[in-house]
Amino acid sequence: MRPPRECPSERLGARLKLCMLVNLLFFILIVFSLFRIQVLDHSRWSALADGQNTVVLEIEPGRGRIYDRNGYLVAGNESFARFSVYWPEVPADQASEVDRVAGLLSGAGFPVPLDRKPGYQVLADDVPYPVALEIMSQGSRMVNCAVLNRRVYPMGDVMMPVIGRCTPDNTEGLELQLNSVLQGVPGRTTLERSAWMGYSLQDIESESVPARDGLDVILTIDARFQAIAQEELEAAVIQAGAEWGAVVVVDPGNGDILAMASYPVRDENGAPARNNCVQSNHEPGSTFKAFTLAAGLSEGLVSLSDSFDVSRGWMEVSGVRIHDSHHIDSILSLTQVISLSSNVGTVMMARAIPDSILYNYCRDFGFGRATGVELPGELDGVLYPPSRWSGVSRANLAIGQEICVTPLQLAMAYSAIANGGILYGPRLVSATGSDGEWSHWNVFERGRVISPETAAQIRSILTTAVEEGTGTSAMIPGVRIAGKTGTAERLALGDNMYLSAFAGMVPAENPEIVAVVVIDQPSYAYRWGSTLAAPAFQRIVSRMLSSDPDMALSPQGSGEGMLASGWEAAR
Amino acid sequence: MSFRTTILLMLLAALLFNAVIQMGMKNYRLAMLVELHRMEQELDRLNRRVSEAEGAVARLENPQRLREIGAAMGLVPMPLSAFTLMEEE
Repeated sequence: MRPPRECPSERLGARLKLCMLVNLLFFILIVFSLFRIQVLDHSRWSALADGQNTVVLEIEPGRGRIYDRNGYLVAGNESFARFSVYWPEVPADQASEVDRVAGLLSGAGFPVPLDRKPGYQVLADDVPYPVALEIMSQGSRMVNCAVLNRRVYPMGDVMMPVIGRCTPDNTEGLELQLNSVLQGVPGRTTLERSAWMGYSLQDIESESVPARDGLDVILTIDARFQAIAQEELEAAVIQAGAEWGAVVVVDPGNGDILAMASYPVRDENGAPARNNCVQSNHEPGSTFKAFTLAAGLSEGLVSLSDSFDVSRGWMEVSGVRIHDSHHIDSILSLTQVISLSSNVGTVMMARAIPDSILYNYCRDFGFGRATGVELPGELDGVLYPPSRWSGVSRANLAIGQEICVTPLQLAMAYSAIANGGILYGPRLVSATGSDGEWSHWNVFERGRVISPETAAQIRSILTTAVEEGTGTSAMIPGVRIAGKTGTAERLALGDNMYLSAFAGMVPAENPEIVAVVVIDQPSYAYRWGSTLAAPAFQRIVSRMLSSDPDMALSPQGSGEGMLASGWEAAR
Repeated sequence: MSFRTTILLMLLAALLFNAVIQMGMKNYRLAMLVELHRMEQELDRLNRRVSEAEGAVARLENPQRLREIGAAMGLVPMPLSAFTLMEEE
């Protein structure tokens, strides 16, 4: 028996229900998807959409400029352009456009490589900004032009010992030490891509943070003095076949560093060499006798009326013989001991000074610890405490051996003698700021080391040392100079290794400049402080005096009068 | 014209007016943004030229260069022997 046939309307109803069920499920799926996209994953899809038509751009801040004390730019910024092309994006019929720009670049003196690389290709680099602007105005959209910044140093290598360098690969010197001040803070802005004219327009509704340029820096350095010091130092080091040299010029009134020259300026690889003013230790030799004298005079342990029999030419201390470099067959006054630089006389003087007192004065003058100047890698120097001294240590220290100092430490200590006994911390940065609003950096006074009377006595003795003693080669006509030569044996480096030094101040009565010249390992003929460092000091200081209008002296016989022993009158 | 038609027409006119205002404001904003973009580019160009010029001036005023030029012209500093010191009062 055949089963009864299903009615067509019933079959249609069942199919319709199935279809509606499928539609309902599909509708629920769509609603769920919409809910997921618009509610659950809203932030993700929204960010994706924004990312497709907006670009967040980091704005590079301008690096702060560096000026010398007179407002002369010693480190600035310059723009240059790099022209490039990405060949896969260049349609075949537009290649001639690239050739046209290449022709413009070649015409401007920037030869473009003829061979085409398959991908990205730099057409010309290091194109000066004005030239790049000219080419960009006639350029093609097929060629990219990136305008980049770089650091420029208008004085070349002359300022390098002080400010170092800032390159994409490396930052050194003051540029490194003050990087946080100079570099500024990057900004951020959102650009909306536009199909019209290829603009990327700023989205003013989005949060935009402007870049904050780095602060400008004013140094205490005088660029003219720096140029003179660097030039004369280089000449002296080359003339004497020496290893390295350093010159520090300081204003003793406040510790401002006026010049800081170091040679060599670059190492074998062309990178900035170490700054010998703060990164080289050396025995100060006889230049240190001024501080032995300061300890003795301050404590009343020696006096100007004392005399010392140095006629034997040597003396024995704890089994070690200490000689005079030049035999002096005489009895010397205290002034003559220093001015003629008698080692024996100085050691005799030091016998009256207890170890702890000599050590404390050395510490008070700033030896054995970094000065805190705004430069990286400054050395402390070497000054052992009395507990580590041998029987001959006091005698050695008195004549500037068994101690290592940096040229800057020596200059600051001599500044204390020059200014009446106050030790200042060295200052390399005078102010920071921008747009005429300057924040001045403080002068750092460490404290009084010796009395003004003692300082005056020492200056008087040092003046005799220049006028009648070992420092006559530092004399400058018309100006009185106080100073001390130094010839240190570089015992750690071997026999016949010397260091020639001179520390001086000018004018002797009321010093306004203190300069220290140190030249290491000169050839044997130039080993004395009086034959190398003192003449270099004389050349440097005389050039400074005659080149600075503030320091210029009126011509003799002009009736105008002359610069006073200080320069305040001329300022 | 019936009251109902009048209301509808006014509503339509308001919508149209609003659309025109909105479009005008958007166009104005776009034009201002283009101008801002152009001026920012100009400012950037001028700032770079200022830096360029400052560097060029500093190179020209380089003390070493001035001394060399002066020496070539015979303008060397006077020797200190030509000067005397006045006593400090």
